[in-house]
Parts: sequence; structure tokens; C-alpha cells
Amino acid sequence: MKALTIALLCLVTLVGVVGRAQAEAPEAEYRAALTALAKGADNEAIDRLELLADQGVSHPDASLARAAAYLARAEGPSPRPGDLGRAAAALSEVLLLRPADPQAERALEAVQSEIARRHSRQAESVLVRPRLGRAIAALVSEQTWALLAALGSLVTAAGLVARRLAVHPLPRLAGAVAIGVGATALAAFGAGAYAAMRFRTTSQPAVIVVPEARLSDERGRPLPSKRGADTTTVPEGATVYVTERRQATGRCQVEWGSTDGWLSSSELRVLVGP
Amino acid sequence: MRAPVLALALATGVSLAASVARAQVSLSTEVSPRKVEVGDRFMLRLRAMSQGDDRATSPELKLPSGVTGSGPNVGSQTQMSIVNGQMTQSVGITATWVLSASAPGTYRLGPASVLTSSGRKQDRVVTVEVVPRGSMPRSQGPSGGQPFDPWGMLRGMGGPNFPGFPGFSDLDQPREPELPQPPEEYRVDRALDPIAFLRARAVPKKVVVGEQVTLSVYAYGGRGEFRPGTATEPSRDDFLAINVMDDTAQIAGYPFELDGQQWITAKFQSFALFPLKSGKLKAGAMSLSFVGRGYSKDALGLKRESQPIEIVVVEPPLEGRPPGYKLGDVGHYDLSAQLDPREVPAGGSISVVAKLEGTGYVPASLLVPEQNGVRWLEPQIIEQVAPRSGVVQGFRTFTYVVELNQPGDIDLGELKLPYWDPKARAYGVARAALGKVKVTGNAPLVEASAKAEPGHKLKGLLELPSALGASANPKHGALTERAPFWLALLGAPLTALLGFALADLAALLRRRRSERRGSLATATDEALAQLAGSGMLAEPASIAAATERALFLSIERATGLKARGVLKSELASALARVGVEEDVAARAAALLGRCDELRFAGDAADLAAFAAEARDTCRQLISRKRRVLEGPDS
Repeated sequence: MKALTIALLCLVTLVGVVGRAQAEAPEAEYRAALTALAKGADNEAIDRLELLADQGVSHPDASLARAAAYLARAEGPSPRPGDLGRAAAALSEVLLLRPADPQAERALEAVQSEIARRHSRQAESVLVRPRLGRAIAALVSEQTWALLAALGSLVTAAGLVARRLAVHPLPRLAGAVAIGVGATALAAFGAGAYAAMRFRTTSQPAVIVVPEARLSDERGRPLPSKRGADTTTVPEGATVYVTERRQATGRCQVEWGSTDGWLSSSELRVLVGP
Repeated sequence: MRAPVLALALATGVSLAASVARAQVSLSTEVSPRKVEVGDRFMLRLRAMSQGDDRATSPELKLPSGVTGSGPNVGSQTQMSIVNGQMTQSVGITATWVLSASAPGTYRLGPASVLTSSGRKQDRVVTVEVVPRGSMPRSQGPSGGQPFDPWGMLRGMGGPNFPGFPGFSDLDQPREPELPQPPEEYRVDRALDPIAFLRARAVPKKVVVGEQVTLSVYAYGGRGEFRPGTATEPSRDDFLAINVMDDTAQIAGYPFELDGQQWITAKFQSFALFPLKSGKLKAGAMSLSFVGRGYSKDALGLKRESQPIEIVVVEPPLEGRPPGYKLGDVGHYDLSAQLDPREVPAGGSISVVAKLEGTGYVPASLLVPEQNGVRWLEPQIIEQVAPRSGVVQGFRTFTYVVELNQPGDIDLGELKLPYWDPKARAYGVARAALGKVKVTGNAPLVEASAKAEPGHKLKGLLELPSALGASANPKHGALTERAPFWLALLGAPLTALLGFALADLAALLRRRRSERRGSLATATDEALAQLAGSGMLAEPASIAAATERALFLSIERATGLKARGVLKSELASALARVGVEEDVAARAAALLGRCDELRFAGDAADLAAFAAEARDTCRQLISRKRRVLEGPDS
């Protein structure tokens, strides 16, 4: 009996130690990455932070550090193609995880300006407008759309009650107006919430991490260089939306502005949200 | 006039120089072995390598009479060499012919040639000495003391299928004990075809990205000797492939019996495949023509194809993965390094030579220990990676130039290579410590000016916290993910609307019922009034009809029961069930029964009394209803 108790205690202790070690591992890796970054070992810092990301650690500070590591390498003596794009991806990830991060916003803006500056040396700058539906859905967060729709629903219901129960003409008029306004809000914001949910569940934001990615069709044939008003060459650091992934071919279908096309998975980094 | 001539001459010169530069194909021919017996097979190999863009194609070999053969079997080859720090890469082809001579003598073979961009290029003629059979000592092989060769070794040997097989002069002697058993890898449970077939085999079939899979293709012939005709290699786009068959070695064949039929089998091709990505990857089918008397009358032979093979490729686990591990670095490796010199002035360079060796497709890059003031330039690499006993192994030597800019005793740290060891099923890290280097003098100004460059501004925008903060954005599902949200969203106004509609409906029903009740009372009153006046009519049928109408309406008004639908014999009990006093119920039922009598024998009845009794009963029924509505207290 005593032996069994001791064995159980040992087991519990072991589980506790292992659990704590697992919890501390990301923290230790993060610190090690910062140390490497401080001594100029950019590649080591990148390796450590990428490993953290691969292991599923999703933390805005880790993403921020990854952005810093890529920026350090991009500005160092041995830059690699796509470093700025990867930094932009990491910063975009920070903003997904921590939307109100002014530091990340400023840095992302600066990185995108730098990419545009470098890009403009080689070719004309690329401006691509997102699709109208996506642009409207992205005006406010999905949660905000949902709350506004709920408010519209309540106003409509209240208007119906007032219109029905009020005896005097003024409250009845107010009820009628509330029904009109509430129903309109419910339809508009409900549609916004639904669209935001659909975009979130059927596509994932990703950032181009190569100097230039050329959209191709499903069979891998490059699309014509111009398609309608949009270009089919996606610059580094640009945000695209992945709508389908094919493991077998290692390719992704993406939405770039109003153009749909296929890219190699290695040309982009899918952002990890909360 | 002179200028165009000069330009033309220059252009011609440039063109010639370019063509010379392109025509860098070097050829070498070798024959092995140089001395064979009549009928023995020997190999002639032509290697055509080029350092430029020129590529050798279409190898050809001129053969003297008396020498026959098959081929060429063409493979590609890449060589890298570093001489005086200059790395050169050569690419080319190796063409192999398998030959045999039918009579003794010394034969001049070739010249072998290839087609290049500047035309067909020939190499030297080589010779082979052919001696009579039995004049050379035999080495021990799998088939009765010599390698059993399906590509013609059985020619002229005994037996119905193998005439003249050594050691089988008498057909009555049992053959089985003399035949060598094929190794396990050659064995099949059943013949896939009664004449000939190919079988592809991959070992192992589940690997991690970068781990070696050995794909072997075996030919099985069930009609005696055969020679290989046209062959294709399996497609393997998702793999890095290395041929692990030794082209110069004789292919060993094994006879065996399966379901009473004699077969000959030989390993025809073998590749070490290194998967480049994860997933279910396919190694395609390969084909081979079996050329021989028993196979096909067609000179091209009997074509057979192997089945494609699916190999499951996964990534090594994330758990325990060392930082810097690159997908595909699989095997078992040792790393050693030498550094020279150990003392250098600031701004100077040292050389680090690291050797990575082991089993697997030796990785082409190492993790270098970076730090401020130390700059590692791209290494020069010398490699020797080749199959040995079917397993790819070898080494790569990395020669780095390291620039040291900050004075002091610099600890360079260690070179590393994380890898996945498939045998141990664990990660390993090959390490080589570099030790310290003394950097003398002052830091060069270049470093300081580099730091002051405006290009170093982006990283400065980010201030990193010293530790990971609390989980910033706890995961919570969006409202839209919850079905009740959508129900409530549309449900609130719809519920209000539905509630009002139900209320309206209830009011309407109430009104209708009330109206209906009102109309019933009027009808009853009218019927009673009619009954009161009917006595003067003295018409029994009219009185009976008025009585019936008044009674039915009174009953419906009092109880809701539509008495016309009830049998008169059951009416009393039906009325009693709905709460009418038994005597009143019985009277009402009796009155209705008497109505029928009145219609047929009305003259004898006292009509006035009958009408009065009916009225009285109706009033009792109606008054009962009133009592029920007003309650027992009233």
C-alpha cells in the first residue's frame, strides 16, 4: 500500500514536472531567440522562432520577434530573398493576434513601403484593390458586425411591440420608424456578419514571401500577365487569401484582388489567427 | 570596306571561340573485364562529360563481327571538383553496352561516339581478349559456381528449358538440389503472368522526408533465357534518385520453381529514392522487353510493365525537433572541423574546413555560429556521395572563409547539423567545436560605417519584450459561430410578429365563437316561439318539426352537442354524459322519440300539451346552461 502511494506520488510529481517543462519551453525558446538576435545570430533566432511557430505556439510577441529577426537579416550582410515578405507576414500575424498594436502597425507600414520602394526599382508599382464584398466585410470586425446585427434585431422587435401596444399616435409612429430602421440594420449588418464569417471560414489570409509570385492556372500554366484591370504578378509582402490547398501538388488557390489563381505553397505564408 | 571585313572576321572569330568553348565534351571509354571466355558477357562503358552548356547525346558503338551485345543503357552523371579554390561542375552521360564474343581472338571495339552540338565526337578504340571456354578459372557464384546470368548465360545449357546447363548432363538426375535458392527479396508467392513479368519493390514503404527508399525492379522470365530489350525507367518526380546498381558488375540471375514452372529472375534496376515532400508519393511503372526464343517472335521482344508503387512519406515529429532542422536532413552523420589560423588581425579572415560524413544523402549546408563581428561567407563544397552496398553515404567538405572584425579572444562556438536518425527514430545533432580565435588590432572602420547606414532602420522600429507576455488574445469563438446567435437575430422580431399574430388569431376565434353562440340563442328563441305558435296550427307534422328543431337547438346551446348526429336511442345517455340531469335528458330523448310518432299518428295526440312539454324541456335545458355559466353559487 505504501509502495503504491509512493508510486502515485512520483507519477503525479512527474506529470507536474513534465507539464511545467512543456509550459516553459516556449518561453525558454523565445528568450534563447532574443539572445541570439542580440548577438547577431539572426539565422539562429529565425530557426528558433520558426520552430516555435511550427510547434503551434501562436503568440504576438513571438511573431513580433520573428519579424525583428527577418528584418535584421534583411538589413544585414547576408540577406535572403523574401526576408522582407516574411517580416511582413510576421507583423500581419501580430496584428491578427493583437489588433491594436501600434508598433506592429507602424513597422508593417514601413516594411511594405520598403518592399514597394525596392519593387518600384524593378518594375511599375502594383496596386490591387480587394473585392468589394471582402472590402466591405473588412470595414469592421466580424464581432462588430454581429453585435450591430443583434442591435438591429432588438430595435426591430421593440418597434413591433411599440407599434402594437402603444395607444397614442406618437409611440406608434416611433414604433413604425424603429421597425424600418431596425429591419434595415438587421438586413445590412446581418449580411455583413454572414459575409465576414464566410470569408473567415472559407479563406485564410496569407502573405507572399518571395520577391515575386506569378499566378498560374490549376495546371500550373502562368496566367496572362494582365487580367482585366489587375496584374497577375503578386509582389512580396502582399496579402492574398487562400481559398483552397492541395497537399498532393503543394499548391494553393488564392484570391489576389479580383483575380483567382494558383501559387506554390512555398511562395506564401498562411497567417495564424487567434 | 575594311571595316565590314574586320567586323566579319571578328564575328567569325567570336563564333569560333564560342563553338570551341561549347565543345568541351570529354570522352573516356573503358572495357571490363579485358579478358573473357567465349560467350561470357563483358561491359563497355563510355563516359561523356562536359563543363559547359554542351550536352552529349545519342551514344553509338561500332562492333566488329563476332561480337554482339545489347544497350546502350544511358545514365546521367554529375561531378564537382575544386581546384585551387575554383569549383567546377561537370555534367554528362554514361553509356553502357553489355557485349559477348562468339569466337576466341582479340577484338577491337569502337570507337564509341556521342553527338554534341559541334557534331559527332569519337573516343579511342579499346580491345578485349576472348579465350576459349573453360580456359579461365571460375569464381563462385549463385548458380552452380558461377553467376547465373539471365541475359544469355543459359545459352547452350542443358535441360528442356536450359539445354546444356552445367552439372545436369543427365536429365534423369534431380535438378532441384543443385539450383541455388533466390534471396528473399526475389521471391514471389505467385506468378503475375505465365510468360514473363516485372515486379517493383520499395523498402521501406513508409518513410520520412529525406529518408532512403530502395526501389528495385525484378524481371521474371518463365520461358528460359531472355535478354533485355527496350527498357524505361520508373517516373519519380517527387524523389531525388540515385542508381544503386553497379553498371560494371554482372547481373546475377536465379532460377527457381514456382507452381511447377521453371523461372529465371534477376534484379534489373535499383534506385535509392529520397522523397522531397510528404504525402502519398508514387514511383511510376517501368517497362522492359523480354527478348528470347520463348517470349516473342517480334525482334523487339515481349514488353512487360511493373506496377507503380505508392510510398507514404511523412514529416519527422515536431516534438523534440532541434532548432535549425531542415526537412530532408535524414541519416546519421558525424561532423569534424579544422580552423586556421588561430590568430588574425581585425578585418582579416580565417579558413574553417568542416567535414560532414555519414549514411544518407549528406546535407549540403551546416548551421554556422553567427555573432557580431564574425561573418561567414558562402562555403565551397566538395562532395562524394555514392551508394555503397545499396545504401547512399559519403561526405561533404565545407570550406568557409570567416571574416573577423572585432578584436579580442572570440569564441566561435560550434558548427552544427541537426538531423533525423531513422534507425534511432530520434533527432540527433552533429557538432564540431571551433574553439577560440585571437583577433588582434583595432576594429576596422567599415563596421562602424555599416552600422550607420540608413538601411538598418526597420529592425529599430520594433521593441521586443524580454519575455512572452500573457496570452494576448484568448481564443474565443465569434458570435457568428454560434447557432443560437442566428436564431436570436432573426427570432426576436419574428417572435414578436408571431406572438401578435397568435394573439390576433385568438381574438378572432373568440369573436367567431361568440357570434356563433349569439346566433344559436336567436335560433333557439325563434324555434321556441315557433313551437309556442304551432299549437294553433294543429298540424302534427309541423309541431313535430318545430319541436325537434327547438330541442336540437336547445341541446346544442346548452351542451354544445349536435344531437342530430346521435341515435335517438342513445341520446339520453349522451346528454347525461355531457352533464344534463338524467330526468331532463330522458324527457328530451322521449320527446324526440314522440316526434316521430306524432308525424305518423298525430291525430290522436294532444298537440297543445305536447308542445307545452317540449317548450318546458327546452327551457330546462337552456336554464341548465345558464346555471353552468353563472356557477353553482348563483
